[in-house]
Amino acid sequence: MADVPAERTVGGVSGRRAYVMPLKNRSTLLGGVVILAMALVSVLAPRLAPFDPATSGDSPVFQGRSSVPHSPPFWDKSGNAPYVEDPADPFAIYFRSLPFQPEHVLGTDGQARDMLSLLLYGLRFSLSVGLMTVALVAVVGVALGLTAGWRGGLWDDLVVWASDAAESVPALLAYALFASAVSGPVAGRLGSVGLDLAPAPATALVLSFVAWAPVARLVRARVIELRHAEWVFAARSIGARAPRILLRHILPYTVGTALVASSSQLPVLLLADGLLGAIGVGYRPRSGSLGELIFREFKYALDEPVFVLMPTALLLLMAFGTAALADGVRRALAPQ
Amino acid sequence: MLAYAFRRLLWAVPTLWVVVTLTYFGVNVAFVQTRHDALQLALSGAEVPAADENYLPIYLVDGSLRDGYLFFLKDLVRLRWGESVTHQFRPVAEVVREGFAVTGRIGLLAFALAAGLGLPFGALAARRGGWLDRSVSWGATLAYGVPGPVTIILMLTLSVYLIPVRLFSVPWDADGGWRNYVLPSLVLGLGAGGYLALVARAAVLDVLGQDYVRTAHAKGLRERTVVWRHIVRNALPTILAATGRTLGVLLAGSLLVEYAYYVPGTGRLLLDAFTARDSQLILAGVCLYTSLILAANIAADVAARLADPRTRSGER
Repeated sequence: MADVPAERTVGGVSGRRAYVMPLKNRSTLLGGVVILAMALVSVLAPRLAPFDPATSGDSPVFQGRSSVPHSPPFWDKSGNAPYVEDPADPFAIYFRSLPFQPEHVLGTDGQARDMLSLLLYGLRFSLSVGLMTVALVAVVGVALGLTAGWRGGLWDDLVVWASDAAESVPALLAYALFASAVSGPVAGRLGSVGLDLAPAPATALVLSFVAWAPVARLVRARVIELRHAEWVFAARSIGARAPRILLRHILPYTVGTALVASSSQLPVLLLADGLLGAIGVGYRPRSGSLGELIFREFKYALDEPVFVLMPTALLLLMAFGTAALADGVRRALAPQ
Repeated sequence: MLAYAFRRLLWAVPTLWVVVTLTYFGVNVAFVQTRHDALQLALSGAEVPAADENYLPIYLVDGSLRDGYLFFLKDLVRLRWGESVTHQFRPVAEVVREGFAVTGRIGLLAFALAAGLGLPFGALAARRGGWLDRSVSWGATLAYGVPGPVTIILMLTLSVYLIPVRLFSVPWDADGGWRNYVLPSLVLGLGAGGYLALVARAAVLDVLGQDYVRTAHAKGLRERTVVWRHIVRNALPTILAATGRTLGVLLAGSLLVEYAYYVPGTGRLLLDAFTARDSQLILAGVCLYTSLILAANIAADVAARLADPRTRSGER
């Protein structure tokens, strides 16, 4: 009897295996690998990037040209593409396309800056902002949702009302206003801490200003559901106090939901960050984020779509990775 | 029922007030970026000097932010929105109305698309199951998860590589007519449609698992009766609530989509007003946005309660 292996226990998987098994799920692993790879690349970005994106537009190749063109990535060997001009169409985008420049492997953007460096530094900033925001939003959402859903009453009413109010505000405008208001004092204090990533915490804070609402609402609904669960009832009947019940019996089932909800907002948040950068509001990194790159390259989407597709692909990949990881965490914490 | 609606409307007033107040102070503090203690000054009622003379703080009276705020509230209650600094001093109400004409149309089209496609597909997927369910769930999650501008990018590039016909009008053409509305409505409608499909599917699945459906089948009722009288009737409240909220969000407009696509709607107006520091326009735009969403939410929740068969006989 003593050597019955854990798997054969009546009732299924027990103990530590319950936490580890969902992590071996294929999409969770894939998501984890993607995020780790991106994090690695981001950390090494200053080493990997061939140019400093903020200054690479001064390359001598582009000097003396009246319009600043793109140069194509390495797979586009079309050489000298024809000059596109259509005087009959007042909205045609005029550009002169350059041949492939060997030192700009992925081409250059609309302001003659190296795409590879822009993507690397942009990924660095966007990944840090994204992960920080997801974490912050999940933490705030869980804290508010737990406390509101458990007791009910005045605090619950307040939290519900606050989340309704937060959702009825034009989010981007709120970000813009908050970013401008916050950037002053923050820029003063964080000025010299690591050139590129200094604005990241401030931006994460700004973005979580509105994004916490749907997460808090979901967590609260979940807690209200779980209040009537049998194990909670059992814990209460043996005299467990509220904090212990909350932490040990309810929290594990809400963290996963909160993470899934906040990571599903990630693409929109990164685009909002890009919009802030495009408008030029708040404390921005020198090299711009992925969202900014998307918005800047958007106007060339019809003529040279590859330049807007590159940061978009990275953004979607990041969104997929975080969503898969969050789902894995949810299934690990709440095996159901 | 009337009491519930009244209570919700009553709660909407302080919400609107808080939002407007925060916006007012936000606007006045945000546009004074050079002073790091702008926020403290504003809160203590002292004079907050403007960053440069190009910014005309309309409501600052004798330099005190608090007095300016009271004047602003008085005008707001009398529905006097003022003149727009950046739009040749035209009345703000007129400018916003023009913007809303565009955004409202896009919102209605997107809503028609979303409700017309999302709801039936979601409900069908829940009932039929199998490959339909899997593909609808997957497609809906994708449509809902990918944000507007990204969908625009993907569709635009698709049109470059695949469809030579210029069905879309990029960017917004002043005399483009209906072609202008295709892409934004499509993009917003697909996203919202994905959301509604997921909601409908979840609601119907919920109902299908209930005992009364099984009872109805056991009683030998016709399939159509079961579907309409039991399934639809009971799934309706949840679906109505979600649909109403979606309508509100769509009518209010997506700032991201409007910015990316140069749509001359309220969203773009708001962002342009922000860059141009046009505080009157910002405040009016925020009022419109918030009121739309609050009204839609209240209407949705009231409709959901009305449709709920459990509240029919006057019980709460």
